[in-house]
Amino acid sequence: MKTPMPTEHVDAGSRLVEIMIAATHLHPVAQIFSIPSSVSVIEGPSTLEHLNRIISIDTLEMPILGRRDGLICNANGRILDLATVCYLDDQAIILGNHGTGKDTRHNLTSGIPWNEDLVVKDADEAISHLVLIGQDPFSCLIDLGVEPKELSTNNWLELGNSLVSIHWKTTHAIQILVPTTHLDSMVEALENNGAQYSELKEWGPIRAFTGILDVHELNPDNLPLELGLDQLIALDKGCYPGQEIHARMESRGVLARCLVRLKSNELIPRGKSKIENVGRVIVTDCHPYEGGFVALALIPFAAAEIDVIGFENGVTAQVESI
Amino acid sequence: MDGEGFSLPVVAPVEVVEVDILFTDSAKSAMRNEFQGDEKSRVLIISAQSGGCSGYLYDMKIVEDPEDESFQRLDVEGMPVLVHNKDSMLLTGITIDFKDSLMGGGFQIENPNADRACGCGQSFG
Repeated sequence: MKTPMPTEHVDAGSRLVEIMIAATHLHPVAQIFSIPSSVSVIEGPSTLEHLNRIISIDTLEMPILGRRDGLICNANGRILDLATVCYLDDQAIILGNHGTGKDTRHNLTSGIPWNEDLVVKDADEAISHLVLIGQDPFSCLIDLGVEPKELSTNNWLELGNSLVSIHWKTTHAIQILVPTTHLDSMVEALENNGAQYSELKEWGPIRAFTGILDVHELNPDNLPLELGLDQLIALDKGCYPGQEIHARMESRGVLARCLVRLKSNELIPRGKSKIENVGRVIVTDCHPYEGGFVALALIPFAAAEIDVIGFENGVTAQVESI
Repeated sequence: MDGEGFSLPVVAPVEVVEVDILFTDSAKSAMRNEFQGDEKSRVLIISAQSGGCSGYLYDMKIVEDPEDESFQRLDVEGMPVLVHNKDSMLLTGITIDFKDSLMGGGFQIENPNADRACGCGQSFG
């Protein structure tokens, strides 16, 4: 877990230890991953109003090419899908988890008011999602005409017929929405600028180290606050499905569980485990990494300060906060 | 971003039922006040839309008659009430009441189709 730094170390200038550890797990320049995702498009004059009724963040004041990251939750506050929104003037692209598009589109369609002219479309095959992640992903974009200073987590930048933005979770990751017909040429352009195209099997450990969550965590088993996703919900925006539950959790200030990263030399068992002196641990995902394994897990909040977890099968794992 | 490869519009399957809504006497009286004698040219539309804490929000509006065949038309003691076919499954069987109180007053909807309702009474799911 996170250990308070000794005062004398802080005085001596040691302040970036955690960031350095995180960054050293990344490619020195950048890797390109094509991330399977659901993509939906909603079109119509009341696009932002309709999204605002459904998504956990405020979309009403989005500028054209604005970006918002939120969640679609059920009435019990549990997560149905991630919703990364790109607004394009009476049209919005909604990037979600892989495999959830059909349900999300049903959600978006079923409650359209009788007097609003809105259309929802499936763009799963039409738009691809690239993530450029590394210690210096910006360097791969400069010669393509992207000025790094113009990139942010609040807006999308047009790059030809693609859209570029910084991932809400880490500035080491840049997300690119590209028409699938142009995917190969975009990958080639990024490779020509120093990025390395990588297989999806390498994505798992990277997302575990960077804390980029996907459908393994963003699903109806989990609540946003337990995953540390406070940033993806806005309790001051008014009602959205799940808001009552989220507001109650926030006001009580007590969480049952929290998300951590586990590291071990042995395979960490996925799924639920009952562990003595810790309680119920749920390992959501586990991947090999440099001769060992790295995993994401939900553990009881009361056990958040422990350093090591010992599983029933004898595997021990180091616990790190995310 | 161009629309090459986008699907045709996604259409949510809709089950249409004949709508039956019960209005209490206090609701009818409040509706009569809201119509202000315009029952001939205006209609009350009761609808459901996404949102609220529980998934759907009720909406009630007195508007010009949309003269759209997608609506079911009820006659409540001379007052025209319309419910869109797409909302019929969600709204049939509801009871509309009116409470005249400073806190939490106004139209109240009791919905037997709802698994849950929000504390404010405006949302159901």
